[in-house]
Amino acid sequence: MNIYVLGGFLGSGKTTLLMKIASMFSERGKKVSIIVNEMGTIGVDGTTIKRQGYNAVELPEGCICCTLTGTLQKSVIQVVNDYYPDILIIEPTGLALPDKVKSIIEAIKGTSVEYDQLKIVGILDCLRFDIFITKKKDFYLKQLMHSDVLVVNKKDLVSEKKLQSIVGQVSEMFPNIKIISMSATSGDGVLEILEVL
Amino acid sequence: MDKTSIEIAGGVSIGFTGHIHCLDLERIDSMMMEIGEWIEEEAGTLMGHIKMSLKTKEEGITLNLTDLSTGVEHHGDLRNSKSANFNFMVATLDVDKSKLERAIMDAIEHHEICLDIDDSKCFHKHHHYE
Repeated sequence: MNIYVLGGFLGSGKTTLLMKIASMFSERGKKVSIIVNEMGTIGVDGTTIKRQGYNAVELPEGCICCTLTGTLQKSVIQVVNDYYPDILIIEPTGLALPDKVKSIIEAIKGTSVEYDQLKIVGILDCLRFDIFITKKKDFYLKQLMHSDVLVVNKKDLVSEKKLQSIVGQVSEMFPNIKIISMSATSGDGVLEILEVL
Repeated sequence: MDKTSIEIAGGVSIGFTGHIHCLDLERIDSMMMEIGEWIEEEAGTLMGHIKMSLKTKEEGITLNLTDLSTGVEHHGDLRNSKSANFNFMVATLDVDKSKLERAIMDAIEHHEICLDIDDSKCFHKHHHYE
């Protein structure tokens, strides 16, 4: 089993990318399960994901990197025992710190959960990159810094020049992390992400 | 006590479920845009999202607003339904929660969205318009 944690700020396109990746893995014959976290009391994404036919567990009312750590671990164990997925995709809330989610899962490896790889996909939103860097820089960078791959999303909504500027800035901030630009909506670039995973 | 990541970021979230009558997606889009515009005025920008899933036994649609310039995105379809159950949520940063609740209620009223809200301590349960 491979586990992928999709990190990224609110509205960065995590759910859209999750659906694309899940679809592509399913087409390749992989069994996909999903855990989606919502900080509020009411979730919306879980409904959307289940409507597409995926086994999805929704964890609302908190953040799986801090207040819901025990719930996350139990959910991972339950999903593994119930569905035996080849691929487990975890979408934390957009205010989670993905490296903490990774640590929480690493803590249960070897007990009820075995996996071959556990990777973080960090997703940035082209359209609002400047705003987040200006207003929430420390938190924004902290979210992304432990990613195994960084995905610059919504490239279809900015000019090529703007995209290259953002990719350049991100490369400087994180010189050792592979960067892929994509549009989760159109699917452009998603295959490249899959190859990295 | 250590702050949670949500507290560090200044996150606020409000959500509720219910049933919507006289389904009109254009009015719902406008309602969501009004909430987004209020957040932008309060916080300087919309950092977050406003989401609504609407479903019947046969169909379902998810509405998503993350950026005012691109508007409300629709995923799915609900063309054959006049009413639906819904989940609604707003997750954003740097606004006062009680003021956000008020803004949501105002937007529902301004756009005459006809709905019943399930058990909620924050909201009036029924909004019906002629």
